Amino acid sequence: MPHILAVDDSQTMRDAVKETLESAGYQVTVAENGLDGLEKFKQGKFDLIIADINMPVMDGITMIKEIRKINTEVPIITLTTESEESKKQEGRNAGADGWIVKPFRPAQFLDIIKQILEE
Amino acid sequence: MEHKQLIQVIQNMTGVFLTDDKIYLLDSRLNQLMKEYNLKTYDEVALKLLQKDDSEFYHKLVDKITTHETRFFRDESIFDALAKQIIPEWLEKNQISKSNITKKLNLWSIGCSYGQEPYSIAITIKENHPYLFPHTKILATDISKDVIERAKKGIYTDFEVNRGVPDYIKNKYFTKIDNEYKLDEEIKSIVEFKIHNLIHDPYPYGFDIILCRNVLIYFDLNTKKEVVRKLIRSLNNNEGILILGSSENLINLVDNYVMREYGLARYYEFTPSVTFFKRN
Repeated sequence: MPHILAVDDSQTMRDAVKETLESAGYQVTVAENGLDGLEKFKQGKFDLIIADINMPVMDGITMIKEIRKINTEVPIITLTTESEESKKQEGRNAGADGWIVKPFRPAQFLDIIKQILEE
Repeated sequence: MEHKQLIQVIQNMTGVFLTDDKIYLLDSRLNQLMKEYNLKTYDEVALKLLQKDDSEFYHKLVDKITTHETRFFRDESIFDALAKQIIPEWLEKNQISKSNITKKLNLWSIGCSYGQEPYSIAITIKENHPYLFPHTKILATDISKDVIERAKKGIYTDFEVNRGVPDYIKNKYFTKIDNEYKLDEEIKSIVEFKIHNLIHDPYPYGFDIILCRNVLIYFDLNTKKEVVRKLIRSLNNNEGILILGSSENLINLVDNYVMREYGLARYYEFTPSVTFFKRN
């Protein structure tokens, strides 16, 4: 079963994402900021990364840039409250594959994850 | 006999692209029409179409080359998806409840044939979301004038009704008169039928859900792309649901859709909350 790294500074959001993904059978590792995410990514083997954007210590855009320096293949999507077009472009330029604006509906979220993993 | 010119004219006027394996349709289906109009060759048929002075002939020809094969609740799983996922998510998104109905649900059923699809949708909504039923409007269109005229009547043969309609639905919404079944007037009341040509007519706007099942299969790739692009623009603020036939998909036609699933049903959601970036 695919292993997903979910990075978000909000405990509530981490729990919601983890619970939704695990209910569909995915293996989930969580991280609480960009730096934590980057460290966990280096230590593990992941099929997909879901990243928040606004986080303390290291923000999501920086984390995506850092991950892309060492891995260009792994799909990365953001899950954020940011919906500004300029911010999306920043994400795209950093190397994200998709941009999802919160809040998410579990059924839709799972369909997106499946679609990305199938691609 | 030369088919080429006629195939081109039919494609230009209707969008229907007759591939080599469908050419046999011309021979088998146009024979009688050609006799009726005393046309000897396909070139004469093409010329008559190009003159555009006989709309009855045009409609008869369209009726011959399109397939009206359909049935009530065809590919049942999509009606389940409508009742259990698509409409509930629409209600949630728009914060609509029994006591707070602030907007209408608008659907467009394309290639509606004799009306089985839009009427199946209407019955599905009446059965599963009765309070939403009076606030639902279904536009049902087809390129063929004859099928639209019949669809409006809502009268079906024994065979048509017994093919797909569960008994309790049949008993509840159909009245048997002699050998025919007449559909309930309330179900009919939320469906509006119109002739619509996806290639030449302007597209209506403001739909939450569009069903375009087994229609794109008639078109070539470029026409498919153009039609899908226009269909997305027909959604409310480019946002909503597009339902295709069970063997169709949007690959190579458009980006930025979410492929949704419910049971065996697959459909496509367009939403500004999800953007996919293409890798170079």
